[in-house]
Amino acid sequence: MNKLDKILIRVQKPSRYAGGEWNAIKKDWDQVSVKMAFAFPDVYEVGMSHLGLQILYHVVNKRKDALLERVFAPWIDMEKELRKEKMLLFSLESQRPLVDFDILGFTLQYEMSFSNILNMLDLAGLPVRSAHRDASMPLVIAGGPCAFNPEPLASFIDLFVIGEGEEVLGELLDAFKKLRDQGVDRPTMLQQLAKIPGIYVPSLYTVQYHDDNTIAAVTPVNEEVPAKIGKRIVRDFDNVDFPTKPIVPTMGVVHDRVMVEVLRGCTRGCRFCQAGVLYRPVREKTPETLVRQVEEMISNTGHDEISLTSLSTADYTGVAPLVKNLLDIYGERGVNVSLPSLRLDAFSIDLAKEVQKVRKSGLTFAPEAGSQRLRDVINKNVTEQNLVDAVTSAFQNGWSSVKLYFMIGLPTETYEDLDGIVNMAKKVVQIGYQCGVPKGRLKVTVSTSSFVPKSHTAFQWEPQDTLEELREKQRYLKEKLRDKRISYNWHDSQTSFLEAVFAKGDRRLGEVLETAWTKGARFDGWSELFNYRAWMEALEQESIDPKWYAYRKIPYEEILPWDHLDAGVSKRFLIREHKKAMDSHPTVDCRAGKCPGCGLCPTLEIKPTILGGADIDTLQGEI
Amino acid sequence: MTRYRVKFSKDGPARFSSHLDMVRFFDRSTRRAGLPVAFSEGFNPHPKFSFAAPLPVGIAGMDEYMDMDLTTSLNPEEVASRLNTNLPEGYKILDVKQISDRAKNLMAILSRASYRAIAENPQGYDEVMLQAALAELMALESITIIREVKGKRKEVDLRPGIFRLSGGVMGHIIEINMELLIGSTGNVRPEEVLNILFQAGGIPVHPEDFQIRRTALYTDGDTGLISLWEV
Ligand code: SF4
Repeated sequence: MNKLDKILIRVQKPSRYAGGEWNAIKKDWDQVSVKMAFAFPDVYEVGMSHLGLQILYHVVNKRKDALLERVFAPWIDMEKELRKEKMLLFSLESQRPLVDFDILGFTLQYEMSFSNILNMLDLAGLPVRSAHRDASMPLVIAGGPCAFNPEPLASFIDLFVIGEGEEVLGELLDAFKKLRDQGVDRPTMLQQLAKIPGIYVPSLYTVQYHDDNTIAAVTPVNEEVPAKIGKRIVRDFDNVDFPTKPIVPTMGVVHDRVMVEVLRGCTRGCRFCQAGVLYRPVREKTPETLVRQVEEMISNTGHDEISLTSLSTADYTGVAPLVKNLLDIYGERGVNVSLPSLRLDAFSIDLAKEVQKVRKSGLTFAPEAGSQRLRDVINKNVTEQNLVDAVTSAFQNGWSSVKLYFMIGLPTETYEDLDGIVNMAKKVVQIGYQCGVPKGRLKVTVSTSSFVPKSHTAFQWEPQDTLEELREKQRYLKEKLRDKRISYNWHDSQTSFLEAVFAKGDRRLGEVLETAWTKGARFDGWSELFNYRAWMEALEQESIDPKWYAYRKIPYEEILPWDHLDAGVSKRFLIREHKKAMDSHPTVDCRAGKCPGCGLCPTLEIKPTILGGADIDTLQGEI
Repeated sequence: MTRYRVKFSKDGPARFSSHLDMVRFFDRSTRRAGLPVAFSEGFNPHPKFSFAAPLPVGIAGMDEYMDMDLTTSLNPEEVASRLNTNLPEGYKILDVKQISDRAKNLMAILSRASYRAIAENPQGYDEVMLQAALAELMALESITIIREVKGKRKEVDLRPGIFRLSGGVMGHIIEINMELLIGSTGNVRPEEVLNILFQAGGIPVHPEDFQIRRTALYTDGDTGLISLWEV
């Protein structure tokens, strides 16, 4: 009996490692020139719920000369078995060790998965540091939202893909194949790959620091390397390849359904939101494309649910007719439609009503802040009246439980804003009673996460609240929200603190990451495994003060660790947004046709694609 | 509504899927196959499948059964072929036949299962030693073990549920065949039997080193055991 079979009998949820899913692609290894593994630094259930994985799986495997196989972070029981049996981490499809691949690509969805990346490299039998790997080992690359500030990973990853991967990955594979066939060494390879737009090779930049630890300069090592790396975007989003034969997971995963991406980007401009910047401009797919893709996906997977995904699906121009159309087609076949995020308005309730005709599970709204003043600060353009209308409509239409999502620790927040959260929650309870929701069934859940300042946003200069402040605020809310009908839960503030340190971190944090990993840090996003002590010890050992990263108010003039990675939205626009935030001034959304001048469209020579919407006259200069 | 009995096997990567996951697979597969599966009524309708007995994770099944209701009547060969082309790696439909919708529930009639366990034969171990170990176990009057059921420890006697043990050493391979109690009246798991043989010292192979297959499922007939397929 082979070693793997023996191990799999011993571990929890062995399907995580067994492969063999419907629509998984197992190519003839010897017939393919470039072999790449897609490494997701979290468990199977999380990774398989990620649309980006399915997209890139399709993009690479469509090529005759390349293959892409998957690998996920082994859970701690599996790690133990692998180490005990001296087995190397392997891919799901061919069960080959990762060292056999040409390229190993990590996706960076969340800062708290960084320690898993080091661990996976180690389990693969590879040195964790780029400098210790040569051309005989896989090229280690990474992409995804956290690649926009990848500096803490600069010593471990050979190159980063900045922006959307669909097109640039193909260019990268072509170039890799050519260079590898020429037999070049790793430094030459990297120097050449750095010429591809959107590719960032951290070893080709030196970072100098001032005595006060701030950055003095980030300089390319030679003239061939670009000083700034601009993000890649898909221009023709309606026609871009989309995986209509996605892999159907073998076990229950977080999102076990067909995911169709109706639009990319979001125009709302919430000032804390990084995704809103990274995925600009907004691009909508046509309803014809969507209906066709859904049909193919349903017949290729057998899923019984269609999820219309995006950052803000309710904003899609034809969302109501689209939903209605899909329900007409699939309702009979027992296939449901779901919307991942709801806007706070009566229109969204109508949509929710359509899709949840039978089973009324709870509704979630995200007012984000408790007072109008603070919502203007963060540019969350919803009013208390919107909330009142939305929940009234929800209760009248048969829902009895509502979840409200807020962020605490936002810039300028005071206890008055927290009182606003409390008042909102109580008001929702009142509305519930007025709408005749039975006492026993009425339930309002308030959830708070803690604000984490992120790169490339208007709040990138802002400090995070201290652990003590956040805990005090959580305690305060817990006390004030004592009510039978209301339940309150909050996000662990230690995790948010570390997230802020890495979200705004520079290269010096690489040492901390490596030390924390050797001290046992893994799966830091999983509360049962998060080892705060290991991190604090590692910071101490490397003489790095995490507070300096998370709690410092940064002046506009300072060079930020990610300034050389350009998301297209200009820094001047962000400064202006930051100033407006401090004055509680909202900014309009460019969807309505008026461009507030974020600088992205002129820089990337693109325009938002809003169906039947106004042809936005994008401001050419920055304001 | 027409009821079908489906005979299938589950091997390869599919061995590692839990029963619950397998039920979901069949739902997805029948949808892909375009089979008109009947659904239960209610808020949370689910497909009308009923399985004989869950397979423990890690054990392959060569002779597994499920009953399935379709809203329209189809030729059983067509059901089989449509399903076969839509099953993930490791699953195979072996046969399909139409049965009466008053046929007794598979789970209710199931009484016995056969298993085959195979492992690498350790150096110096031979047929004589194996036969002695098997005979020794069969000679016991009772075999009490402690099972943990929902956090509670319970004593059970396995012996009445062990009907037959046989085996052989063939070259590098050691093979053990077991006929064990399964179903509504109780259950003896093959790993439990292998563990007793290992603990007693009769067989020097750890239960985890065996690859186990469930080879047949039976019900008690008037004249002896009959396969679920023959019912
Ligand atoms: S440049 Fe104007 S239209 Fe284009 S994304 Fe920015 S704000 Fe919107």
